[in-house]
This record gives sequence, structure tokens and C-alpha cells, in this order.
Amino acid sequence: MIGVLWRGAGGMRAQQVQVDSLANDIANVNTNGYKQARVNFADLVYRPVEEGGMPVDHPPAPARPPALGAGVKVASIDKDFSQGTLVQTGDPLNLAIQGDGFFVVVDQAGNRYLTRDGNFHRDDAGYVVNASGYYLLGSDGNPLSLPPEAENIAVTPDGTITGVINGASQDLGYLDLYAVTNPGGLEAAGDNLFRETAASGQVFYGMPGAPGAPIPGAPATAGTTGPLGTLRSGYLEAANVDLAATMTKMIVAQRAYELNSRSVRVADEMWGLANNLRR
Amino acid sequence: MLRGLYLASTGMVAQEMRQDVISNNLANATTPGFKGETATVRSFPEMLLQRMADNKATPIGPFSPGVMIDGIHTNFTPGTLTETGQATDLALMQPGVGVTPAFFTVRTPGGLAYTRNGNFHLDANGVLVTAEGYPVQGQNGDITFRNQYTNELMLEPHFKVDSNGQVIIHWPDQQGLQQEYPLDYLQITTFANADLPLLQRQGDNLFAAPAGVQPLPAANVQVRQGWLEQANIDPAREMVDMLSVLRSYEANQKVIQTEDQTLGKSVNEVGSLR
Repeated sequence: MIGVLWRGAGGMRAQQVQVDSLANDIANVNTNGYKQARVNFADLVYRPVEEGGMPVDHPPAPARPPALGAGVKVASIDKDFSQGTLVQTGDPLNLAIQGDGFFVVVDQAGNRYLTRDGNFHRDDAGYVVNASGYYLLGSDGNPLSLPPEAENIAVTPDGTITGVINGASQDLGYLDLYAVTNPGGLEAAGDNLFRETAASGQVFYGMPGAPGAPIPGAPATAGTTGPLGTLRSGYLEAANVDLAATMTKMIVAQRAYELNSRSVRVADEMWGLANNLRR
Repeated sequence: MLRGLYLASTGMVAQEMRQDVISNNLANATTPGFKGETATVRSFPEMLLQRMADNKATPIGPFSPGVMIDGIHTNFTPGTLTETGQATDLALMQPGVGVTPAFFTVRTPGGLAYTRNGNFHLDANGVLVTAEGYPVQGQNGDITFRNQYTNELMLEPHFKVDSNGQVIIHWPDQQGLQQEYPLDYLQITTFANADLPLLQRQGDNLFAAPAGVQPLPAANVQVRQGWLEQANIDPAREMVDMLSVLRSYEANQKVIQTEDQTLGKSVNEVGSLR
């Protein structure tokens, strides 16, 4: 009975993780560049029944002895990095990536983050920063800054930032996109930011629309990647949360939770019966 | 009467084990590719009872000393497919009724294992792996997403898997033309029908083939990219089974109580002088 109780409880806990994750997706349905998560389940180990001293038939070899499963676990939670829809904002420093890649921003302490949230603006010193005030890196690896007198700023799909200074149009800076071999391995750091991990793999960078090259210091065998995405100035990438699919998953999770709570209840009733063998 | 007590208690134990199996099925109701199980109960071999009187044995009739678990059988029927749109999600579809199930082949530290759960990812080296990080096998071993002409690592999800299980890398070149590079065929395995019950469940949605069970290449299997197979659990059926378990358990408990009362009477009341 103890086994049934734990399997039921484990099942309830797994569905709770699913509901938590779905609730987070729904909460971020209006967050720019948010990527929905997916909870993956797997069954746990199987134990031969005889170990429990149960009366079982011993099948003749080579048939396997009956084994009991130990329930379910959350195998992994990964991010779905599919493209979100682009929403027009009209602000030229609002950038959306169409295709693969991330912007790189650094905080005041110099920590590097990847993000798909292209909601940038100029701060008082002329630096291009995100909503948290983190600096956007230009292609030279330094925070991108724009002269305060520059007007009519525009960003081309390949990452060239142009502006008009004293009536003359000129290039003000260049943007690179970064990519990792396994975006699913990135660690979500909050504020729409992702942190590189060992699981996210090799980092590549390059001009938007061109193949990515290994960042300096990477092993020579790393090769290049396929083409990075291109930039859309004046657009933001919306969250890729599919509300209808999320609600459906929510219903499934709730029912699965109920099923497991039912098996806990039945186990409890059975235990009660065993306890009342002798009244 | 003592015999009756033991008999009813084997019934309780057997029902408890059925409930163990049902609870495992319910816990995995949303595990992709999970195959449900059923515990079957059967009576112990019957024995012939004999009455000993006048120094000779007179047969009375057969008697069964209770029930035991005969086996826990895996139900290999396919689960329904749902669309996820993820390029790394693969499902196996086999037309026809009653066909032997096919499996994806996975390399684990303990050797090859087989799974129906096509919920795969790319790892840091661009290798197609399961949620636990075990590489999915193609005909030529691990499936690594690297263009072998240019040594290009491919970013998720620029590959397709056709219905024959061929994995093809594709990418737009500088002129915007689609380039394709056929990488490998998925290694899809099946087993002889008689060998299916011998497959060992490993957890992590994996099945292992014990020694002597020969994996066979599967034919007539369609691979669907962007789809996942759901668990083949029928919640309604599991609920009914669960209620029948509960009631049988209760009935066995009542038998024990009755036997106990009868035993109590015979021990304490028969032959008492009042």
C-alpha cells in the first residue's frame, strides 16, 4: 500500500510541476521574446516483484520475472525556441530576430547574457540598453553607443545601425547575433535573459543573415553554423506561448492529477480495510 | 479454517499488487510513449484433498490454496499521436492492426535500449539525444547534426526526418536557395512477436532486450516529425480496474473477518461447559 501511495503522490507532484510551468507560460504571454517551456515525463525504474516477498508465479526462463514500476518523474523541462510572432512598434531601436540567434547584453558587472527580447533604447550616456539597463554589445565586443546628436536612427536587417548627423547619413555601429548549438541547454536567468551553460554548447557569432563563426578561443574543429537570423527594426518578438495548446495541456494535467489523487484515495481505503481486519 | 485465512490473505495481497500496477499506469498517464501494464492473477495449482479415516485415504475433491500474480503484461498497442510542431519530436506510425511494435534505438551506458518515446533534443555537440542524454541511433551510429562537407554545426531545428526515417539537414545558402544534405536513416527496431514479452522495462521509457532476444530491422514503419505518441493508458478502464480491485480487496477482508469469527467460536465456544 505504501508503494501505491508514493506512486500516486509522485504522479500528483509531476502534474503539479506541469501546472506550475503552464501557469508561468500563461503569465508571460505578453512578455517580449519569452519562450514557452515544456515538461517531459519518464517512468521510473522497475523492480522485480519477488523482492517484496509477494506470491508470484516464476515463469520458466527466459521469460522475465514480473516487475513493478515505481511511478513517474519529471525527466526534463526544456524551452521551445520556435519563433514568436513579430509585433510592430515603430521604434527603430525595437529589434526582432527573424530566425536563429540572440542579442548579447552585459550587466554593470560585466556578466554576459543572451536574449531574444529586442526592446532597446538609448540611455543618458548614449549607450543602447535593454529595459533593465544592461548594455547591448556591438560587433566589436564593446557596449554599443550612439552619438547623442544622431537623428533618424535605423537598423538594417544585417545589423548596420545608421543615423543622420549634421544632415549627413552615416553608419553608427554594427550588431552581431550570437547562437549556441543547443539553445535548450541555456539557463533562464529571469528578465528575459538566458545564461550560457556547459549544456548549451559552443557559442557562435556573426553578422545577422550570415553563417556564425566560433567565438575567439573556441577549438578549431568547431566549424561554423548555418545562417543566423536577420533583424527587423521597429518590431518586437512576442512570446511564443500558444494559449489554446497551453489551456488544453492544463486540462490534461488537472485530470491526470485527479487520477493520481484517486489512486491515493483507493490505497488509503485499502489500507483502512487492512487495519480493520480485526475489530 | 486456518487454511481459509491464508487463502483470503493471498487474495488481498494479489489485489494490492494489481493496484500497484494500476497506480504506476496512472502516474504515467501523460508520459509520452508509455505502455500500460496489466497484472494477471491466477490460482495456485490445485491439490487433491483426502480424508484420513480408518487408516485409509478417501479423496474429497480438489482445492486451491489461493491466488498469486501470474505475470505483469505490457500492452504494446500504439498510443494516439499529438502534434507538437517541434522538429526534434518524432513518432512512429505503423499502418495495420495488430502489427508488432517498432522502437527507436537508443545507446545507453548499459547497451542498446528501445523506446517509443520520440521526445528528443539536441545536446551541446549537436547530437540527437533523449531527455536523459542517451544518443538516438541511426544506421551509422549517433546522429550528429554537422554538415560533413563544410563541418558546419547546425542550429536547431534545421533538419527534417521524412516518413522513411531519413534524417536530412537543410539550410538556406547565401542566395536563399535550400541546400540539403542527407545525414542518416534512423535505426528503427522491432522484435519477433514471441520475444515481446521478454523485453525488460528499464525506466526512462526504455526497454532492453535480454540475451537471446534478437533485434530486427523494422519494415513498413512511418516516422512523423513534429508529433509525439501519448501513453496508451485508458483512464476509464484504469478507474474501473481500480474499483474492482478495491471491492475484491474488501471482499477478501470480509472473508478473513468471517473466518476469524468462526475460528473464534470453535476455539472458545465449542466444548465449553456452562
